[in-house]
Amino acid sequence: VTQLRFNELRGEQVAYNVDRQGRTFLPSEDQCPLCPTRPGGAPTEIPLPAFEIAVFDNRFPAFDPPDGAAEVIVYTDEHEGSFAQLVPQRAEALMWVWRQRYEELAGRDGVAYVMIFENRGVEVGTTLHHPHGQIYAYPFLPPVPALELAADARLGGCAVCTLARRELDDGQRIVLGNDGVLAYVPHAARWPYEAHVVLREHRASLVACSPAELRDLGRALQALARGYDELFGRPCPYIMVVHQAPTDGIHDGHLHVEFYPALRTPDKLKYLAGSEQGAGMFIADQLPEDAAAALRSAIADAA
Amino acid sequence: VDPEPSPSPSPPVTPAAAATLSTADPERYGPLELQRHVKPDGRALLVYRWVGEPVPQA
Repeated sequence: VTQLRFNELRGEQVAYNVDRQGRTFLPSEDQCPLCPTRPGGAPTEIPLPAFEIAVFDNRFPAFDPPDGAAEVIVYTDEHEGSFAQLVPQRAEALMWVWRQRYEELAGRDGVAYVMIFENRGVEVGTTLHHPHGQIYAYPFLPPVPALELAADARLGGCAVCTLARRELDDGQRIVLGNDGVLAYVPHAARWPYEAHVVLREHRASLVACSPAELRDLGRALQALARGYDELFGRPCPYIMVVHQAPTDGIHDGHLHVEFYPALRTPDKLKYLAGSEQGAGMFIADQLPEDAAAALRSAIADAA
Repeated sequence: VDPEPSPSPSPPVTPAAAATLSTADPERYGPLELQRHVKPDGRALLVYRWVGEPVPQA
């Protein structure tokens, strides 16, 4: 059971669930809870001999219905691999699954914000290697989407539309694009090689996207993820977060996906240390323009 | 943030209903079908698959 406490000094909620301490930690493949249940094999979370994409309620949820939800999305029944390595049709299907989960969770009472994300790699805290992502449905509006709404107010309209237009006008930090989406290292990126994949048209959520846009989004996300692996010459640990409109029916948003790669070089992590944690200010070692140039080249090499 | 196996898993109940989602290219892939299951401990399990020609494995 999750307990929420309000941290007055930070002005934010903190969730506590002591049951989560005992969750599975980096099991061997034969003990993987996300693999299908093979005949004669160990039972898993998915009691089927094969599947394409599966979603289930997290056994150790950060949020419990009716006050939110926590789900696991398993991309494939193959234990090895990654989001980047899925065949394109599977990535496209995943966009539809994301869309369906957003729409359904958004319709529940007690859900104010739906966040789809992936923690890839032990460096960012994943505890299972099997390719998967997660969904948190928050019973309140968390700080980051609240900041995005504040940016909308500050810029006098959709902040993502404004920023994407600026990036297109400048051009230096664009890393890839197709008909439906655009990807760039933001002008003031916080993480080394941070990149945002943005719908070219104003779309509040996946639900508002056309089928072609969903296909383009899947392709762009995979191209970027492959680019990260190519850039560092190893599986790149990253956090991938889908930003969409709050589900309160009041606030708008602009669908975009943010990547926070944890590396600054192939063998050096970017740590959130004194300034980042204590002052809330990121300090970076290279300019976003240089990061974008390197990432563009890596994406081309990985294509 | 990750799950664990259920303590005593068994096959899920037969799905009561299957929903069909729209797809980008129905002639190529067929519709994406969602089957809703309930796990023995009451948690939801949703299984998605392309009907007709399945998506190749990664």
